[in-house]
Parts: sequence; structure tokens; C-alpha cells
Amino acid sequence: MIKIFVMFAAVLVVQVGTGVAKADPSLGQASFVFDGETVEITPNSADAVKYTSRFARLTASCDPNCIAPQSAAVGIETVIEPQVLEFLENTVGEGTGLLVDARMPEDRALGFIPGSVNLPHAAMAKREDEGARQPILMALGARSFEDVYNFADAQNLMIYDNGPSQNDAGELIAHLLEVGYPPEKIRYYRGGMQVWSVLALTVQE
Amino acid sequence: MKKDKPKISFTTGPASDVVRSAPAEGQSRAQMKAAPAAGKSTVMPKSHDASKPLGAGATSGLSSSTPKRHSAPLIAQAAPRSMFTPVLAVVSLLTVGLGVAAVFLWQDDNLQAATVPARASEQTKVTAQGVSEPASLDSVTRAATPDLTDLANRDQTGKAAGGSVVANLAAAVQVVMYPAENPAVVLQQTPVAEEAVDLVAEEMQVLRAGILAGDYEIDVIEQNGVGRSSLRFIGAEETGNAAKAVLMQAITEGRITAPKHMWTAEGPVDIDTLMFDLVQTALAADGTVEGADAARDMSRTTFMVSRIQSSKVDGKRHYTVGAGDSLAYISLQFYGKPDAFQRIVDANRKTLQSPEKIQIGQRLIIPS
Repeated sequence: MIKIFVMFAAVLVVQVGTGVAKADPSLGQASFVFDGETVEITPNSADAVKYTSRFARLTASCDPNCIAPQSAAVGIETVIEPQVLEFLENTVGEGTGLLVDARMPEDRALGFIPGSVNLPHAAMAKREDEGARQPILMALGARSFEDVYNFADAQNLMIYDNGPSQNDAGELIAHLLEVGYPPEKIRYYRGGMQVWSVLALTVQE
Repeated sequence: MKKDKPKISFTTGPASDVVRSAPAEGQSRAQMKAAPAAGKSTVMPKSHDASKPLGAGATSGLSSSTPKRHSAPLIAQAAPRSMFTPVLAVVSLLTVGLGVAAVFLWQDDNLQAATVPARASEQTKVTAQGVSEPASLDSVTRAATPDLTDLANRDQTGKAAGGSVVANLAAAVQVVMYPAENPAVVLQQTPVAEEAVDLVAEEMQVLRAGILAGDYEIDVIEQNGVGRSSLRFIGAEETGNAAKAVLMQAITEGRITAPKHMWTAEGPVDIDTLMFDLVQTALAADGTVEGADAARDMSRTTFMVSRIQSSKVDGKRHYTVGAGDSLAYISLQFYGKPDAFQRIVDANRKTLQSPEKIQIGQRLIIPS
């Protein structure tokens, strides 16, 4: 009896102690600390219509497809919004992962998911100088020796772009796989800004 | 304490070889598998730190559980039955709460890295250009000593960027999209004792030939949840083990002295890394292009498959010393070379007086 009681109390205190009541991803909510600041994502954004039309109007890249494939690459999981919110709350909040916007800076300037970072796909494109991409991989937590990398410490990445009409995320994922980034550390949010804004989730500018 | 190592008696060569190599032939060998699935691996840095056996984590666990255990039974005897439940509830909540709070406070002071990685980022602010400035460093520990060899943590102006992952990534994107100088890291090399090579000259011929022919593998073996790498000579395992045994014997009897960075935290010499270093140095120094290439490949392969993990505090990589680690092993995993250990020594001057004095549970700064 006493034991059960103490255990119950301990569980309660630990829950209170670890603070922040978790927001519910299935309701379109997330609350987490990103780069030292608390970020809140809520549904029912008042600006939803503005953003929806803005992201819908961007011309499809049609390179190689006008509509992005369901899977970005073999072994890369495609995720939906509640998973993005959960990833932000847990993985990004803990500092072991990054939500990555693969669009070029001019597209990102139209609005982005709060708590995401910008890694334009072109920055990771293959170049003549093999070492050119090294600083980015190092910043993502990879270790480098001569021309090889080790990804044991590398961040978990969830990568998105404008949405199904764009393939920036697919490009970035291909570049990352090419340098050996482990596929199990990469996920693809195909909905991107287009689906995100239709769901009236918070957009930041 | 460990200065007298050559005289310390410990398991002789052959015995320790059996221990080391047995898992390699068993089912537990992990064939160079990459880290676990993304979702699960998020927990890994934490658990790695928490598993620190002799470190402070163990002590904090004790201090939190002790008060719980005493107070609950005491109250139960003193209070009448009817009052029992509410009083016990309040008291147990308080005691457990204090215990938990104590753990959190304690960790805040001593184990910032282990608890909340995000906390490190709270200390930095990102400017528009993405270059971070250390905002407040008043809570720095020994870990945050300025480190001049830390090239990767510098921005283009050469100023140390203390920074968060976010700030570092933003800075890296700037560097790559608008290229500027990117200083390369040069690793120094120091030779292993020649007398050791002479002792096992015959075996070395066989092992060198094997490496030149590419007949080797870097095995990653799971031990207590940590993937440890070791060099396996395919088709020449016995020769390798024989050479290790001869070396261990000579070291135990004090006929040769192993370099200080080859001593493990527990006591015995890290014979696997010593062997790696002997073979690699012999290849690198044989004057042929093939030898140099083979030596280089040993480093590259070991580096790529390494599963050693570190955590970042205030933008600096930290590694917690585990069982079986020597400074040479840690250096091989992080830098691809057993003899790049001097960088680690230099970065940890305050807590590591000499390479052989590493302790299990010790947190070392690993300069990037």
C-alpha cells in the first residue's frame, strides 16, 4: 500500500517536475524550446487564407515531376503533420533533431514553419570541390576526417519544402544520402507549406 | 597511482586476448551497422551520459532515493489510521519532490550536457547573419575554457562562435553558399616505440602483408550498449593475437614501456589500439605508395564505422570516458588516428594532467 502510494506520488511529481504539460499533436498544437526561445504552434491561424493562396500560387518546379512522389528516396519515411508537431516537441525540443526547410531563401521568405532551420538544397549540391559541403555537415553534427564523414553524432532531420508541387526537399535528401547521411536519420514531410497552411497551422515570416 | 603501471600485475596477454576477441567470433558482432532508427536514437546521447558508471550520476541517484526510503515508514508508525492517507500523501509528495528537485539542481551545476541539450542554446542569440555571440557565459564549467585548436567552432572573422546547432548551421550555409577560407585540420603523427616493433618483427611482416592485401575488417562490437571498434586481421587472427600476447608479456615484465596514451582507464594497456598503431605506422613508414595508401585506408575505415558518441555543451564536443578506453582509442575514433591524442590533452589541460590519467566517467572536451 505504502509502496504503491509512494510510487504514485513519485510519478506525479516527476510529471510536474519535468514541467511543461505537453501540447497535443493530434489537435495541431506544439510547444517547445528552439534555439533558446519558446515556440508555440496552434491551429486556426487567422492568416490561413493569405498563406494558402500564397503557397498555392508558386509555380510547380516540374523537375523531375510536377507532383512530388510519395517517397523521397528508398528508406526515407514520409511523415504527416502530427508527426511533424511531435518531432518539434520532442526531438527538436531536446536538441537532437532539426526541422529543415529545403527551399531557397527567397521562397522561405514567404513564410516558414516556426522552429525550422533553412538549409537550401543548392547549398548541399555536388560541386567540384568535394570539401565544400563539409561545414554544413559538421554543423549538422557529422565528424569529418580527410574526405570521409562519420554520422554517429549527427542530428535527426525532418525535411520539407513548399509542398507536393515542389521537389526541393527531395533534392536535399538526395544530396544528403549521397554524402552518406544515414537514411534512418532523415524523414520527409511531403505536405510542406501548402498543406501546413491549409490546415491553418502557425506560419512565421 | 597509475604511474607504476609497468609493474602492476594484471591478466596476462593471452588471457586478455581471449576476452577481447571472443565476441568477435560470436553472434554479438554488429556488422558496421549505422545508428538505430531516427526516432529512437534521439534518446541516445542522454542515456549514454546517464550510464556513466562511476561518475556523478550514480551519486545523485543515491541522494534522491535515500530520503524517500526512511521517511515513509516512520510516518506510517506515528500517525493514526484515519489520518494516515492524507498525511502520507503530503509527506511523500514533499520528500519525493525534494529528492527530484535535488537531482535537477545538482545536475544543473554539474551535468548541464547530460540533462538538457537545448539549454546550451539558451545561452546564445542568433543575429541576422546567423553568426552567434556567446550571450552569457557566467555558468561555464571547466569545459568552456577557450580552445585555440577548435577550428570548426570559429566563424569567418576567426572569433569563437560558442554556438547552438542552429547558429552553427546558419553560419555554415553562409560559408558554403558564399565561400571563404575554410582552414583544414592537420593531424600530427608520433612514432610508436621501435623496440616494440622489433619484438614482433616476424608477426608484423604477416600482418602488414594482410593489410596491404585488404584482408582486414573494422568490427563494431556492442558492449554494454556502446559500440566498440576493433581491427580484425582476416585470415591472420592467430598471428595478430600472438603478437599482442608477446607485447603484453613484454609490457608486464617491464621490458618495454607502452606510450602513456595507450593506457586504459582501468589499468591495462589498450593492446588492440597499440597493435593498430604499430601496423599502421609500419605501413605509413615503409616508403611505398601502397603502404601509405593502406595506412590511410585503415584510418578512413575506422573513422567511418565508428559508433562513438559525444554530446555538445556550449558548442563544444564532450565525450564521457568508458570502460576499455585509452586516449589513443578515443583519438582513433574521433580523429582517425591513435596519435592525434595531443589535441585532446591540450584541450583538457585542467582536468587531465597526463594522458594515462584518464578515468572512467571523466568528461573530455573533444576539439572539432
